[in-house]
Amino acid sequence: MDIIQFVLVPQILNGLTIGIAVVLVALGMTIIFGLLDVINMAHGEFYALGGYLAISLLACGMNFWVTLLAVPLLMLPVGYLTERFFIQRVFHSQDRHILTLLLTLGISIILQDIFKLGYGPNTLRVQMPISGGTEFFGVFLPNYRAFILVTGSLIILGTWFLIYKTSLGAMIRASAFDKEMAGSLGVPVRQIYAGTFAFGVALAGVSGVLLAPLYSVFPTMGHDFILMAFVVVIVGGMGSLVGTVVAGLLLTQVQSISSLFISPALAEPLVFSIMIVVLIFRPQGLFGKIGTG
Amino acid sequence: MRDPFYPILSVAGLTKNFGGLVAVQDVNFKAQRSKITSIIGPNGAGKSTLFNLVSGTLPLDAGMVTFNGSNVTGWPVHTLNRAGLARSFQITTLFPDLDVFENLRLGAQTQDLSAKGFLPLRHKKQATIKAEKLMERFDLQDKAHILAGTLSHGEQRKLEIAVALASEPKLLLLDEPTQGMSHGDTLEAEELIKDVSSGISVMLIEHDIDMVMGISDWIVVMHQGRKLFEGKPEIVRDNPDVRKAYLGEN
Amino acid sequence: MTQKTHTIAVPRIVSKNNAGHFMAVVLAVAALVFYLIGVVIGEVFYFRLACEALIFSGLAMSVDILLGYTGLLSLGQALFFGLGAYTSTLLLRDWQTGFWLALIGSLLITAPISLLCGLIAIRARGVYFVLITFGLAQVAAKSVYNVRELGASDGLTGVSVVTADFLLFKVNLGHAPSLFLLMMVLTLSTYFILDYLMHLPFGRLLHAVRSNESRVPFLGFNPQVYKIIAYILAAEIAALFGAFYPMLRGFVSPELLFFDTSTNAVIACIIGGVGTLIGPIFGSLVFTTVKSIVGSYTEYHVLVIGTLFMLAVVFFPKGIAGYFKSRYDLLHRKRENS
Repeated sequence: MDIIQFVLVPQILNGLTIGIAVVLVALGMTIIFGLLDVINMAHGEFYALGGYLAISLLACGMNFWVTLLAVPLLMLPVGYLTERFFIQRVFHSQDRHILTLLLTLGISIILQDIFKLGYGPNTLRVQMPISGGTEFFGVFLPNYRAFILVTGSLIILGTWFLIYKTSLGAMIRASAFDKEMAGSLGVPVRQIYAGTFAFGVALAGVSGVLLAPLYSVFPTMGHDFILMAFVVVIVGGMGSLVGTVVAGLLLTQVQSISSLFISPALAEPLVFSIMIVVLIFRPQGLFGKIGTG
Repeated sequence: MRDPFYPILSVAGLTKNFGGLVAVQDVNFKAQRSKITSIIGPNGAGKSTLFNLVSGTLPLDAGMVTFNGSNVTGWPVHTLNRAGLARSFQITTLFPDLDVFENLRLGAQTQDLSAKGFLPLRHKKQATIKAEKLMERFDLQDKAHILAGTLSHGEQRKLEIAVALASEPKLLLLDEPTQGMSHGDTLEAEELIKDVSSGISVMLIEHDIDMVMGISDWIVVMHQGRKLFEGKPEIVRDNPDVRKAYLGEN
Repeated sequence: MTQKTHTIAVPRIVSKNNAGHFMAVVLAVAALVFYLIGVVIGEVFYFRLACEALIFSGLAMSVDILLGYTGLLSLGQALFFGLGAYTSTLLLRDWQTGFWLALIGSLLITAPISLLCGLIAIRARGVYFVLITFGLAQVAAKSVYNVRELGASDGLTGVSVVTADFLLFKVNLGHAPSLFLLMMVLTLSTYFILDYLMHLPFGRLLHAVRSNESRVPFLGFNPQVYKIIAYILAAEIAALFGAFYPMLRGFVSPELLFFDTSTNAVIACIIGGVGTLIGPIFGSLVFTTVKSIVGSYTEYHVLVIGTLFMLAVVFFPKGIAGYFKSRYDLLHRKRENS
């Protein structure tokens, strides 16, 4: 009983906060893939950029809560311009899958060096905006983690609502399904593309801010995070919102619980093996793409 | 001794469903050697699905395909091709960023079974010579070093047939070879197909009824996934059911 | 005229009118000049730098076999490069096998491992392939990083100087100019052999796979088989050059398996010219040069290389070799016409 109360449940809750964070990052990635067919290799660096912007804004004396709102707003133009300047440039060539991947890869390594240049190679800490914790049924949960759980879930629900319940979302889904048809129906496909890319990037940014107090900010933080996000996106089915949420929460739980029993260093290979098994039996992932389902 | 005139292809009970939709239902027919067999029918009659089933492009739900005397049901595409069954596609997608010559040489190297792609140089020369002959035959010499993706539509269709022929198949399946061609090109293609069929068996799907009637030895009429009728062109032309299926559609 | 060009399509090891081969010859001459100047000046540093560039050029060629000829982008070639480097280190240091067995051992162990990875990776198409190669390498890197027997984060040190016995003569690989010559011979012969392979029906089929995989079965070939062979071939090349790494540096570290190693090879390949094989060698030389020049002013050389890379992707997708080839062909046509 004690083991459940003091080890297992905290570990599950711990995994859940990581899970929500992974889902937030992977969500942006999967939306961008679902609509533009672009694997955004720089997504992890956009996540890190969120963290670094937060550091700067906090250093200017801005309050954490305002920062949490300001960073995604600042990230929107970053994403929009990235799409317009880089992705669109190679979007119509035959090898666009590989070209867009290479371009975003270039962006990612450049950003990593810019972080080092601007902020130094060391880890930067962000003070917890909420301290203390609360006990639920004898299980202790730090307040900030509870905050992440609630905020993250709200953002995920909001994204789902945006894509599936609004007319803007209908336009996004129509463009993902068939861009020629959507274009002929008067959907401004190019704006939708850039806007969606910006939205995905902003999602990465907001997770960067949310997680900064927990995991600190350092130049390679995006890179360390991205493998897990990739695995989640692949297992969930690239371009599927539900799949990303399900796979994100499940896989982080697997990682978190298994690390109680095996070396944490092996938890990642374990998660990766799950991905391989999924790819062998269901190459398209567990759920379908945005436009189709 | 086997009858030397046994059909090159015979299908029995061929069936394919997509989800709940029946695309091809219990189709039987035979294609004779060195003859041109055509599949016709209104849009959505299941012609293309039938082709995909015969060529191994799609797995079939039920039925049997016999090619050149062996049961080839369920064979993968590349094995079928090795056995001598080649096909062209309706929507032309050859190797767009390789030139015309290279496309043909790739088609021609199929026959070099022993080479497996690695060794003797002799085989490569054979493929080269064969590709050159085909360019001559299809009047594509001037285009030898032009990328296939930049050819005109008519030329791409021609190349499509030439590549399929390059492997020296026993049976050539042509999926709407004249689709989108000008009248002049269509006449030229008609001549080409007749010319080709002097050595090998040809089966084709075609929309151009005049052309089908002109060149086919045997016609299979499909309607709503089933075989409606089959026979010689003049008999098919006068069949009231066939007329009704076509007129009802258009 | 068209007739003539076809009948001589049988490739020769070194042929006229081939921009790539011309570049290789230029490179060989430049290397000899470099060697002579270096020996006269007596400077070892540049030899070692050049050796490193050549070792990584092998990795870049390995990326090119997949990307330029088969249409598969691997972001995990470091896996096999590191495999070769670690195997060779263990064989040289702990088993004292010497030069040849270290190389052969690296190649032998790479075969089954690359077959296994290949079977997993080539099932997936397009971006999925990229992500799987990325993931496989990442897992391998993390594992090595955490295994104490493999030196964990410190890597393995203490490889003593290797002597390569070529029957007629011996090469002391601790002597930088000699190692440089050996690496040059290895790199150029690898180039010519691979270039030859790519002109065989096998190589042409890889082209076909890259151009339009779904049509390859209709030529009578199973594309999966050719993709696997290309994958193993690329892995073996990466491992072979990786095996030389400890001979140059005397140690290996898990960084060799990291994502950066894979990306650098892709960058060298793109800057040099995808699908040319000679391009990646030039790309790797440029990469190392830029890195050491910029690196002597600031540690943020990646910024410069990353920018170069993005410019190459957008504006010079054919890279150095592609640009050179178009000039070369133009010149040749002019000469033929006059």
